[in-house]
Amino acid sequence: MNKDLISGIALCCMALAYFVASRAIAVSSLEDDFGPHGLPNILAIALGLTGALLAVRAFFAKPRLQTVAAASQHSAHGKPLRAIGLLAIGAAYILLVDKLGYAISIGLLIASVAWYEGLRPSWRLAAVAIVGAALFWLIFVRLLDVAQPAGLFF
Amino acid sequence: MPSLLDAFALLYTTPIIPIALLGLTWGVIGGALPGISASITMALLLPLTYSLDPTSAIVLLASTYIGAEYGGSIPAILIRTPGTNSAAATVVDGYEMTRQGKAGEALGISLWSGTVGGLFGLVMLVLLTEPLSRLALAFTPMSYFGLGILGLTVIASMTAGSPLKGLAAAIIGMMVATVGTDPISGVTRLTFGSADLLSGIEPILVMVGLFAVSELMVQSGSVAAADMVVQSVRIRLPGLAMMKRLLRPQAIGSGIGTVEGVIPGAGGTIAAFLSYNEAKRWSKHPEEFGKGSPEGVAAPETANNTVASTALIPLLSFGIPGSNSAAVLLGGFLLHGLVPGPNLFMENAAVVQGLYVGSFIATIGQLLVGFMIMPVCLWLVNRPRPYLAAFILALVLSGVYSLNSSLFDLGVVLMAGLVGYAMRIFGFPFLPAVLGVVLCPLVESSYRRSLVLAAGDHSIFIEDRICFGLLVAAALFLAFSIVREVRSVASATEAGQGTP
Repeated sequence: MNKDLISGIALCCMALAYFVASRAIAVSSLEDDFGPHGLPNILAIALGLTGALLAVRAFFAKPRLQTVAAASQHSAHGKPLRAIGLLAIGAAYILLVDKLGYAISIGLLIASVAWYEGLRPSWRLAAVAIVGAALFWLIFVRLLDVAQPAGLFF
Repeated sequence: MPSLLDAFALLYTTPIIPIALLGLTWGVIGGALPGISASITMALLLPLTYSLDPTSAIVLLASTYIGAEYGGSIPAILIRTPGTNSAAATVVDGYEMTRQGKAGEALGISLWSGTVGGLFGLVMLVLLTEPLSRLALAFTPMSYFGLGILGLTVIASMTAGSPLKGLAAAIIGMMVATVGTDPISGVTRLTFGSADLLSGIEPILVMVGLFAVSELMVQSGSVAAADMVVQSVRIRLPGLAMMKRLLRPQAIGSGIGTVEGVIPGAGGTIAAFLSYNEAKRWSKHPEEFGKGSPEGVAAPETANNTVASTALIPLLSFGIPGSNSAAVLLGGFLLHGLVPGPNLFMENAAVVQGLYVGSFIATIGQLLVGFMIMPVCLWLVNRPRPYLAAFILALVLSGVYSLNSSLFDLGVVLMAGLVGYAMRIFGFPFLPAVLGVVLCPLVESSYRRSLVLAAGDHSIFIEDRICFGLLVAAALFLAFSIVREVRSVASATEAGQGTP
């Protein structure tokens, strides 16, 4: 299956899910003629039609062109699993920052991303993470007075 | 209108120059941090203005606003992260230039165009406050609807080669914008019981996720290091030939920025996108747009810096704050017992004069501050890729948290990054999605308000002259884009048939 066909089917599924979710929007006595459902309904139908058109077009497209396009796109975007790993580090930060506090968590984030991107654990990496954490803390907490999560220890 | 000489005489009696430069520098730093909007940067200074005289206080806030509007373009160009909403259009060609090793040139063009736009907006502010303020009052909900539709037609020119995918991206963006509390009835939509979604999903979260996080993911997933070229740490202002080339996009940006600025609520984001689109339409090199065109940087940067000045027109004339930043500035006025409106020009002329002079100094000072800050920024983006990725992600997560002190927002950004990564893999363009998120609330709420006013009669959209004019312009733009797309497909097909 080529990418456009997958995209088209995914868009149709998304449109259906959005349509079902928009059915749950409550009715209000204050609502106007168009109502809060009006736009979501139009958008769901429009996305469904667009997805269907994309899928149909991809289904009847010439296979040779699809292969060339797919190959060039694959080389441009590399390994999805590795990319998602980076996102996982970000997600871990969100889970930890409330417990460890901003300063420690941001330092750990810097160290782990740099390590994940190819640096070996070393004193230099640790020093950069500590200095970076101190810098971010100074800018956001002290200078800009943003109340970042304090954590359980501070 | 206050005399220009009286205004410049203030330089001897009030410390306007250091205050304007201080506010400008603070604004550039704040604007360059993703998530720290111009209004937040200004609001942080509000307590400090208590101890200042009214003129200095207003100059400090206004120059911060100017700096923040400019500062948003720095991360947009260097790390594909728009510092402010209005810098989103700059990402397209600015970051592409950075990838080609022309970061210094892109920053120079942005700086020069920002200064040109700021000065033009300032001239409009000083000379045309009265006539332009009438335009602000003439804007009805129907006119806003027309403006929103005109903005949406920009999507047609951003989907070259894949109109269906561009349309799908725009619809998805609009779907995201429907989450939250309905603007008319107050009913919650698609919040799934989450209190964090009640106020909707802010456009900046979507932009940072789509642009910055997805870029980090792409670079992380690439086997070879990203195709970034080591940059010179020197900022390069455009030469004479380039300045001549940039005149047209700057004129377009200034014109659109002037009109958009005086319309409360329209803002720099729409102005930047419209300018980008029009600059592409009228360019001699439209094929370069999206591939690192200097004009693609100049047009949006001129527009959003023009807006920074002209947005003060409805505030000074009627006390209408057209944006969050203008609302903070209004707060500054009120803190010092000043009430913006027609009487302000008569009763507190010195403050208005000070504001003009301070804004002028801040706009010129952009060049100085830019030259001081840019080499540091360029040096930073030349660090080894692992460190750069780590600090960008840390900056994004820290900055986004600053918006609402919400960890939920961080999750939204990462999710938007994942969606952006998928969109890249499947070849969907980002900009239509961004426009959808930004314009959907304006289009929907003004459409429904208009119908409430007209008791459901759609003819009101034709009877309102401004709305009708904007809708006709939108139809013409759309037709122009479709014709151009059809021609380019036809010529590509002919070229393909001619190739052995």
